[in-house]
Amino acid sequence: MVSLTSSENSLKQQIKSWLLENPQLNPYRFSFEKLYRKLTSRLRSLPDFIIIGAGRAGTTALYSYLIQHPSIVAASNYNKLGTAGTASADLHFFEYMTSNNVQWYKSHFPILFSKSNNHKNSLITGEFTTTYMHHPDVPQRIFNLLPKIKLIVVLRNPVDKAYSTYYQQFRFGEITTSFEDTIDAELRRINLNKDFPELNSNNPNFENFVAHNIIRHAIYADYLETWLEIFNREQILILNSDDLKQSTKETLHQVFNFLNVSNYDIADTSPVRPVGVLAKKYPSISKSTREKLIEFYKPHNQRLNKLLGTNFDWERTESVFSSHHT
Amino acid sequence: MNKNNSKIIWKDYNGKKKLFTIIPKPENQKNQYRNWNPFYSKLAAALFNGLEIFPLKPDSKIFYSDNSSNTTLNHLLDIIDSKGMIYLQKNNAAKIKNLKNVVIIDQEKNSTLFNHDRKETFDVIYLDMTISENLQTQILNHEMTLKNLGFLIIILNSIPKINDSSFRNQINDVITNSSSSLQFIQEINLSGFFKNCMMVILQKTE
Repeated sequence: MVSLTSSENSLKQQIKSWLLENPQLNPYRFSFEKLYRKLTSRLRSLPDFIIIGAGRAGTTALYSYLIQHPSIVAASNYNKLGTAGTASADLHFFEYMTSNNVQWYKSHFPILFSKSNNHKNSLITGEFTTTYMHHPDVPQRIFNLLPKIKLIVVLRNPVDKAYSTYYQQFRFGEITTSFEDTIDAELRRINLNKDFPELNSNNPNFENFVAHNIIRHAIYADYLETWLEIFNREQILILNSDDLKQSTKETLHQVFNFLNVSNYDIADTSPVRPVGVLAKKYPSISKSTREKLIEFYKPHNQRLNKLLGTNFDWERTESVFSSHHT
Repeated sequence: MNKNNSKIIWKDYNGKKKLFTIIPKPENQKNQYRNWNPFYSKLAAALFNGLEIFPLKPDSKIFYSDNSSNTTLNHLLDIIDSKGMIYLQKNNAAKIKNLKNVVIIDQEKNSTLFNHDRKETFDVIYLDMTISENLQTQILNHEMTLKNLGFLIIILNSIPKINDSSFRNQINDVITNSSSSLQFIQEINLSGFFKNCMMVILQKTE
């Protein structure tokens, strides 16, 4: 073994840092497709719609259904692996990127020369990032770049969403404790924040940590209030994940109508999961925990129904995602 | 930027968040900022990975046991002021001299910590340790020296596998131990900055 001198080490560190800061020139990450997309980014269109959430509510499936429509073109990073039934398209642009990287964002979308706002047969494109809904700065950032964007939100019974999120994060190794301990700990943190606000770490990206917001990410009213302050109600389509599962075609017609594209019956309505999520079953939530969470979410759900003018009845019913896949 | 009383400051640099503290300086001197590098400090890594409750305050009395580098110690010294104190337990603590607000505890005389006069001394206990069979005993010993509503921060190193059931059971045993008045607050996986490492935070509530 030849040991590196300190100057060689320092040079190595400098090259490493430079490559990290300039990923587009990093030979290990270089691809002709990315280069082509970057060079043609000025010709590319910005999205016409964004599915902003909620995670574990069927957003991946909805996106995979939508892009089967002949007028809807998928973002470039959408990757459907047919046999595994998994897909990925989250861009996370508005959470982490600054405005000078709009070209990077555009490079992910197709070149649509035939685009026209009022023509039913024109092509449209869109993306989905399920954590957009929770980030406090994202609504304003999206509005600044795309004031006329159409936003789609899929909402699932909060108790089932919380439980599904827990199992996903448990499998990822972000959580090691039981569901009950995890939610109790989060409730304690909510109370500590109320009683001792000076103890909060103020991490501006805290909302992005799914594992630490299992309960709070299902309090939809808190997040949608911010979105409705910035966007018109007509720009936001609210869907119930149970409807998407039970009456997929009717729900999709509703979405196509919202997106101003022609009605179309898609061929493949089989379940689609995000990449990295295995089709493993997990045990049902205990009755006492479910009741405790239903009580917790009750006032928040009432607030949501009032805010949106909807009638989500999540206090008695279970989600129709009965197979309990993570 | 700094909404609350916490002395940690988040700043945005080209879309990337960075974490700073102000290095205490004598009067009439310009403030200097210390960048918290999450690759060098597990406390910083926990903050970057979603630590929600940051219990370290300027007047905190902190018991700090860590045999790795002094980076986190410097961070703690930035946070506490003249009212705060750090009780340092470290292998090579003899090399650390002339630090204000630091009391060095001799590891061989460690038992003095658990004398009656030391009971309920600390606001925060910070332990950087490896997973071992007597993990629970160690935690319960330290619990005695923690004030009511005080926080116990444990960094667990060399975790065999984060999803390993035996490791998970050890954590659960600590959390659900009936003889303990410690309540589980948060666990943070430090992956991305430190391999096989996690932070667990507990609060004493009698």
